[in-house]
Amino acid sequence: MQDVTYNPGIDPRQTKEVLDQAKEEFVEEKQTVTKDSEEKRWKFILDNHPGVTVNEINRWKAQFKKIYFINLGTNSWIFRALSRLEHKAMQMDIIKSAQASQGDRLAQVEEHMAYQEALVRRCVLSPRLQPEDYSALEAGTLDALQETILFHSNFLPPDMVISLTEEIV
Amino acid sequence: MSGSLTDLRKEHGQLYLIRIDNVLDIGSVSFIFRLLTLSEYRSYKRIFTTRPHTLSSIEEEIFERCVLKSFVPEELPQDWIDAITEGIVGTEDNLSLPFTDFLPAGIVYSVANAILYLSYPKTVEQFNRALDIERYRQLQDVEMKTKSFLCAVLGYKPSEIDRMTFKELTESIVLAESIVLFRPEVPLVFTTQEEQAVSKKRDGKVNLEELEQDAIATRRAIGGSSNEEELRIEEKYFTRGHSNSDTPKIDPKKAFEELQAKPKKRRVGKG
Repeated sequence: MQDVTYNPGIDPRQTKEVLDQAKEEFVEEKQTVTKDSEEKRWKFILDNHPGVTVNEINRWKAQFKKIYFINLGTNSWIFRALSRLEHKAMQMDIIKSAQASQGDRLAQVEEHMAYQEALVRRCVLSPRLQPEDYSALEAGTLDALQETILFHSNFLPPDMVISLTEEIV
Repeated sequence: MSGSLTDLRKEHGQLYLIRIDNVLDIGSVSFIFRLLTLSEYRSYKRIFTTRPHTLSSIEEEIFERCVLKSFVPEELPQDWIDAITEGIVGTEDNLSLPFTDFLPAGIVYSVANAILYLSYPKTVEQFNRALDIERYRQLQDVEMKTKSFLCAVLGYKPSEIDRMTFKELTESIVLAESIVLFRPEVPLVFTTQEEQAVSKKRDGKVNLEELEQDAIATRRAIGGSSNEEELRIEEKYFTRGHSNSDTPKIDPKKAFEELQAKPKKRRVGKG
């Protein structure tokens, strides 16, 4: 970019024009880069989810307002946030089954896994898994998915919650 | 929930604001909340320990109890509501459900956690840090000093002091002083910066005798001592050992022995 700051002979109006032009160029360049990376991102997502179309993604966006993508190495996932209503319904199921199993430790672990599967079944939009598919997943996949879905559903870590809070003076 | 911020502060004391951004496509949501009282905190803590499965209902209870104002768009996107109620029994009549049910699941959880976290320290270090912050705040503020003095001596609550006029405040301070001055070593004197500078210049030559005489007079006035002999002993020994060489220094042992030798004839406050 032309150095205008230390040139005493330059007209100040010209300086403004040069700066404005540079700013416009910068914004255009940034938009192009963003557009390119967006396109690359969507291409990557669609390549990894062959059954999913752009129309379907747009429909999900209209329905769920925000959809998310996570790449866990061997698999990538498209998911949405969980609502409070769904969370409560799933917790009610846990309470019922906990009463049925009367605190049996093994049963509690099974309930936890059942909750994870219910969460994934509800929030993961692609790939759609069948019950028999869960056992074929790598051991930590469901945990990682649960963490990320809950985070995007605003289950925020304590430090973050406190940083968002301010005392009203 | 309604009420201006000032009214809410009057009623609930210290308030907090939490703002969570990028919620769905509705932007940000904010909540103004109060903290739990100590007894409320204790009861929730007990439930958390004994009935961990009921977490979401406790979160909701804390949220309802402490959140005083919510800033959430009045209408949430209908597509989203339709999508999330699909397959859930009992959601046909959406109007009967609380608005929080239609927000992302963790919002109530995060707000309830902020309330719990700020309501009581989790560790001794946090407790000490909170005390240090409060000490620093009070040191900076003459009004806070006055408040703590009146709370300690006359048993006022800070909120009761807030309802006083300035005249009543000064009356209370003087009353509290007269009680404290019963022990002559604690005079309460607020000084301006100029007075402090003058006092420093005088290099410690402040006439404490006057203060001590006042203290003894106060004791007389409120019936602390009616016996002339005892007063004489007090005047002789219970004075400060400051720079004035005419005033004898305190000799507690001697004073104690002399007072013990005198038979007790009266009770404090009975004249």
